[in-house]
Amino acid sequence: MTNNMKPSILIIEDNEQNMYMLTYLLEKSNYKVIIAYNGIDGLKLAHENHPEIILIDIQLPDMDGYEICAKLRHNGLPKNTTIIAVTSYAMGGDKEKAIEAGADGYIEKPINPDTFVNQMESIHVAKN
Amino acid sequence: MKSNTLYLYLKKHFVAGFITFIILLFIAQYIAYQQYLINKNEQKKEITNEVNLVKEKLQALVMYNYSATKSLAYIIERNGIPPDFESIAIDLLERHDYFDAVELVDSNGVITHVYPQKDNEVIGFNIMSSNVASRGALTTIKRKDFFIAGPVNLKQGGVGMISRQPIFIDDKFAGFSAVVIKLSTFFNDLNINYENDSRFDYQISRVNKKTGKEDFFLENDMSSFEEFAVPIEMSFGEWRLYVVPKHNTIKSVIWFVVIGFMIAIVGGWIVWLLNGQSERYSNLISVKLTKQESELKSIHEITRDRIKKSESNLKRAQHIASLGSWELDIEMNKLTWSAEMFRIFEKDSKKFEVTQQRFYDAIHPDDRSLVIKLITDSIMNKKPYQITYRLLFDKNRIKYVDEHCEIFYDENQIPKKFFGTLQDVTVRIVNEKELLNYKNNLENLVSLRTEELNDSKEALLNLLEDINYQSIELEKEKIKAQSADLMKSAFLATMSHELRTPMNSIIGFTGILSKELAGPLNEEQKKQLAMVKNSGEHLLGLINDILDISKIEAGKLKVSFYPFDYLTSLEKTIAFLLPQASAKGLKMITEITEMHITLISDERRVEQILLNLLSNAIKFSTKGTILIKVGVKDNLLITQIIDQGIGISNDDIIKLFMLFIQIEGGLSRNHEGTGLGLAICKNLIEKLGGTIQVESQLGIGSNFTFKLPLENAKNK
Repeated sequence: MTNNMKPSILIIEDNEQNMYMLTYLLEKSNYKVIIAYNGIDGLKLAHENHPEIILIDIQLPDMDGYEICAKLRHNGLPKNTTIIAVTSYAMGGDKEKAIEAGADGYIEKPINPDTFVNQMESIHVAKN
Repeated sequence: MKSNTLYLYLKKHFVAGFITFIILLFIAQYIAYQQYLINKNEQKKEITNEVNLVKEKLQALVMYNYSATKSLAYIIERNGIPPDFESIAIDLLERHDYFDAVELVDSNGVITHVYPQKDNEVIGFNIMSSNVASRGALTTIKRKDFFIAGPVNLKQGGVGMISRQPIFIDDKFAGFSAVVIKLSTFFNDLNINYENDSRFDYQISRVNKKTGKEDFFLENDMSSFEEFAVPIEMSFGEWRLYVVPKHNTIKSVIWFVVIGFMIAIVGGWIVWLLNGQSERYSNLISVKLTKQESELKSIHEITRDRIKKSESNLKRAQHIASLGSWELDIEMNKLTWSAEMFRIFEKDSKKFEVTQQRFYDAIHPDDRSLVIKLITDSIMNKKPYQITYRLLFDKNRIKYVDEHCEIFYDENQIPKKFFGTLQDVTVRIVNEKELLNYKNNLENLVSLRTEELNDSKEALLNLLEDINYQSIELEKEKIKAQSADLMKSAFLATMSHELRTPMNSIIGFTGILSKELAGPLNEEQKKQLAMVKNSGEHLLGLINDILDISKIEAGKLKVSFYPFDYLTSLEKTIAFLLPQASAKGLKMITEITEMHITLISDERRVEQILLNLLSNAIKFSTKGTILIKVGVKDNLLITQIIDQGIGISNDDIIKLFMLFIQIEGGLSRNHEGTGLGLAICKNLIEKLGGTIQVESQLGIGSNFTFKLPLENAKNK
C-alpha cells in the first residue's frame, strides 16, 4: 500500500468526534482526507478538489444530506465520484431516499471500525 | 256461431266492394275505349291529310316531269341536240328545284349528256343493259309516250325515279330526254324526313301490271300494312302510296286502362272497408247497450235488496242504540212512534194509543213544563230543538232521554210535519256523572303531586350545576394529561436521538482501540475494552427500543415498502446472533420451503423483528436447538421461531405483548432487556400488515409465529 495509490475522500459531518473517528480510520488506511463541517463548505470543497469519494452525514445544521447529494450531482461533479450517505438516523426508507437523491451507497451508524473501510471500498468498486 | 257471423259479414262487404269494383272498372274501360276511338279518328284524319299531301305532290311532280321532258324532247326533235344543252338544263333545274339531273340518251340507249356532271358520272352508261330498265324503255318507245321508271338505284347513289320522254325524229326513235328525281329530294320538298319520321312510315310502290307485284321505292317492309295502301292511278300504270302511323293507338290508351283498373280496385277496397267499419261500430254500440241494460238491471236489484236490508238494519240499529223515532202530523194532529219508542216508554205498541198528552204524562214532573214550553216555542218559532230530560216510571225509577226534532214545511213555508228522535241515554248520563267525580278527585291529586315535583326539580337543578362544574374540571384534566403524554413522547424521541450520538463515539472508538490502530494493548486492557464495547452496545439497544416505543406511542412510527430478499435478511440476522447462541451451546436450524422469497416490506424493520425474536429465543434458552421455519401460503410469508427454552405459562401469555412487562423478570430479573422488545415487535408487525401469535408450555418451549403479506396491499 503506497500513499499515492489511494484516492482522496471528502467527509461532510458536523459532529467533531465522528469526524475525528472517520478521519482517523481513513488516514490509517492511507486515504487523503478533506473535511467539511457543513453543507456549504462541503459543496465548495467538492468543487475545488474533485474527491473520488464523498461521505455525507444526513443530519447537518444548514442542509440535509439528500439536498447535498442532489446539488453535487447537478453541479458538474465528475460522474465517477462515489457518494456515500453515513447516518445514525436509520428510519425506514432512508436508504432509498439517499439513493434517489443521488448517493451510490449507504452506511449505518454506529460504524463498525472493523468493517467500515471495507464497506466503503466495496461501494466505490461497485460504482466504478 | 262466431265464425258464421264473420263469414256473413265478410260476404256482405265483399259483395259491396266487388260490385263497386266492377262498376268502376266498366266506367274506366268505357272511357278508355272512347279515348281510343277519338285517337283513332284523329289519326285517320292525319293519315288522310298526309296521303292527300303526298298524292298531290306526286301528281304535280308527274306533271312537271312530263312538261320538262316533253319540252326538251321538242327542242331536240326540231333542232337536233342543242349545243347549249347545259344552259337549257340549268333553266329546267332552276324552274323545278326538285329535279336532280337532266339527261339525254341516244337511240342505242347510251347516255350522251347529263347536267350537272358533278356526282353524275353516267355518260356512256347504257340504260338498256338492265332487263327491267330495257323493258320499261321499250314499252315507252312502243307507246311513244312519257314514262316514269322507278324505283331505280341511281348510279350517283340513292333511290330515284327517272322520267323519260322518247324522242322521234321523222318517226324514227332517236333517244330519250330524261329528268332524274331523287326520292330524298322529293320528300325534302314536302318537309318529310321519310327515313326517320316521328309520326309515320312512308312507302311508295309501283304495281307491275302483269304480275300484280309491287316494286317498292323505299326499304320499309309494308307486307303487313296492306290496309294503308292508297292507289294512285297514273297514265302509265298504278302506284301505291303508304302512310303508316308509327304509334299504335291502343298504346296511347293503355294508361287509361291500367289507371282505371287501379282506381276500380282501390274504390272497391275502400267500399269494402268502410262498409265493414260501420257494421263493426253498430255491433259495438249494440253490445255496449245490452251490457249497460243488464248492468242497470242488476243495479236496480242490488239497490232494492239494499233498501230492504237497510230498513231492517235501521230497526236493529235503533234497538241497539235505544234510539226511537217519532213523527207528528200537524194538520192531522197525529203522533206516530217507532217500535223503539214503545220500548223506551215501556208500553205495549198494540194496546197503547199514542197521544201528545200521554207523552207529556210520562215526563218527570220537574222537567215536564220545560219540555212542553220548548215544544210549543218550536211550533211557534218554526225552529228545530234538542233537549235532554227525564222520564218517570213506577217506584220513582228514572230514565234520561235525549230528544232531537226537525220540522218539515209545505211549499208555503207552513210547518207540516215534525220529525224527531229520542234516545235512552241513562247509562251515558250516569257514567258521565261518575267520571266527573273521578275527574275532580284526580285534579286534586295532580295539584298535590305537582307541588312535590317542583321541589324535586329544584334539587336536581342544583345537582346538575355541580356535575357541569365537575365535567369542565375533568375536561381540563384530560387536556392536561394528553398534552403531558405528547410532551413525554416528544421528549423521549429527542432524548433518545441525543443519547445515540455519543454512543456512536463510545462504540466507534472502543472498536478503534481494540483494533490496536493507535498502538498495542495488553490482555487486561483488551478485556476491559471488550466490556466497554458490550455495555455500549447494550445501552444502544436500550436507547433504540425507547426511541421506537416513543415513536409508537406518539403515532409517529413510519414504515416504507420496498422489495428485498427476505432470506438474505434472515441469514444476516442468524449470522449476527450465531456467536451468542454458540456461546450458550445452542444450535440454530433453518427449515425453508422456498428457494427465494422477495418481500415487499420495510427491510430494516423486518430485520429488527427477526433480531428481536431470535435474540429472545437465545436469551430464554439454556439448552437444545432453535428451529426457524419459513414458508409461503396464500400470499403470506410465515416465519416460525421454535425454541426449547423456559416457556411461558397461560396466564402470562396475555401479558406478553404489553409494554414494560418482562415475565418472571419482574421478580428475579434474570434476564436483561427493557421488556419493550415484544411490544415493539407486535406493533411493527401490525404496522406492516401482519400478525404474530405465540404457543408455549412452561418448561418445554415456545413457538413464535408471525405472518407478513408478501406484497403490502396499500402499495400494490
